Amino acid sequence: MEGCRFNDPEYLALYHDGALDEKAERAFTEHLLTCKECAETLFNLQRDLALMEMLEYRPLPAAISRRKTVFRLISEGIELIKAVAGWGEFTPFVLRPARGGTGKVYRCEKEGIRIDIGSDTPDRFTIEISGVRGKRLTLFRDKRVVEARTSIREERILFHDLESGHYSLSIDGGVPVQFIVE
Amino acid sequence: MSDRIPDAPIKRSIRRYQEGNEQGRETVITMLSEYIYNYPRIVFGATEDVAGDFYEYLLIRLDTILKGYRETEAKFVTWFTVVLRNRYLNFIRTERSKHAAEHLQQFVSLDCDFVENQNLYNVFGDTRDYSAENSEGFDRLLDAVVRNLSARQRIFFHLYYLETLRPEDAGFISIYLGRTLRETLTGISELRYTLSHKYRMRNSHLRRLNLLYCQLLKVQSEKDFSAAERVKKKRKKVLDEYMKVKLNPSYESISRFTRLPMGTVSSGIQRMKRSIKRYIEEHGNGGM
Repeated sequence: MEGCRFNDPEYLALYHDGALDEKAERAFTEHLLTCKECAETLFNLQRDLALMEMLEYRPLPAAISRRKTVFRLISEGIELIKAVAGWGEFTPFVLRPARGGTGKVYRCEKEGIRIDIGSDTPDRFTIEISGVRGKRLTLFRDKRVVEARTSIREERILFHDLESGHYSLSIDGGVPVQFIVE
Repeated sequence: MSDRIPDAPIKRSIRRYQEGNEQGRETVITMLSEYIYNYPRIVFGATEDVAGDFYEYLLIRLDTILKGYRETEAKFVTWFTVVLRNRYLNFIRTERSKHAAEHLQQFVSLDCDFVENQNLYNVFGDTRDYSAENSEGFDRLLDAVVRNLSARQRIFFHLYYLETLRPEDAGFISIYLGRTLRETLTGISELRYTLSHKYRMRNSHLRRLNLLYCQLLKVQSEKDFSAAERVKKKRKKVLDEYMKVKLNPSYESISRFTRLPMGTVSSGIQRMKRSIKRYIEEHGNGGM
């Protein structure tokens, strides 16, 4: 694959879909007669696309259908086991003592909305969501609605005494934040 | 080509994602998830476990991949499929080196029947393991067969035994028929589409074989030998059904592709089969 300037996904895709200009197309056609690597890539591409179009897909197993953040409840509180990037990415955050609690939460923040997950008791945890005034919010646990609120009046909303499970939090119908608490 | 990833919406979402819109990223992931998960399963015959592992492997790298995407006239799915193949090959190479000992163990425990029964019909998906020995053996076998055929018989051989077709054979067809490689590949693709119901049937048999293989490993580990015998018998039956599905395009579709009369195609294929039979009788079956 190395060394051939034509063996590039963009170029091959353009050739495959007939989107190269006439001169480039002619040059690549000639090139294919002598370059086994490019011919093989093109051949595989055509075959892969045909198979992917013809054969039935299977749905993603639930366990991997989405990357989810995973927390674990421990005697000292809650710990982050697996983090994800983007919306739903929780990072450790130490609260000022005035706020009380254990002092350590996991925080996810975006566009004025802040989600803090923490735990004061060994087998329960809390979710505090800030910046939700006037918004719609639904919290699911194991696909069941735990709480559904419309036009929230408060700036901050707190769910406490929550037990382990698969959680999904949707705000204003946007992309939900999903996480597992073991 | 594929409505499974509609081109305009995916390009729109990628544009939004590249502009920093997080929701665009989520939409892209939703649109690509099934394609990514099913790619190794369909193209390489990977197990669901491997497909799941690859899905996670790719998702971690998806940001880098999408940042490298430049929108062109080509369909996104075309570009993405080239990338996916490269990434999958990297993934299996990495996995293989990481778990060299486990793979060896898995290979030893594979049941002999399945391996010994591999023949020209039994090549499904891209089952090569990309090791030099493997492709050399396959090439040697095909070279030995086609060397004894006339140019026209060789064309019929490649088109009739479509699943044995290699890039260099597609090149040969292009030259013989005086077409560009892309025209030839498009024609081959059309031939493949005529076999879609057979591909689906074989895929379903393959799935059953995988399940039975897992069952067999389970009962063998439990030392339940009578159950193991029952599973083996069942698997033999499914394997027979699997091998009965012949992935040969019809004479009519080959005639359309080569622009030769049906009679010429039909007699050409018969002659080609006779030549191969004669060759095998003279030289032994050489693993065929």
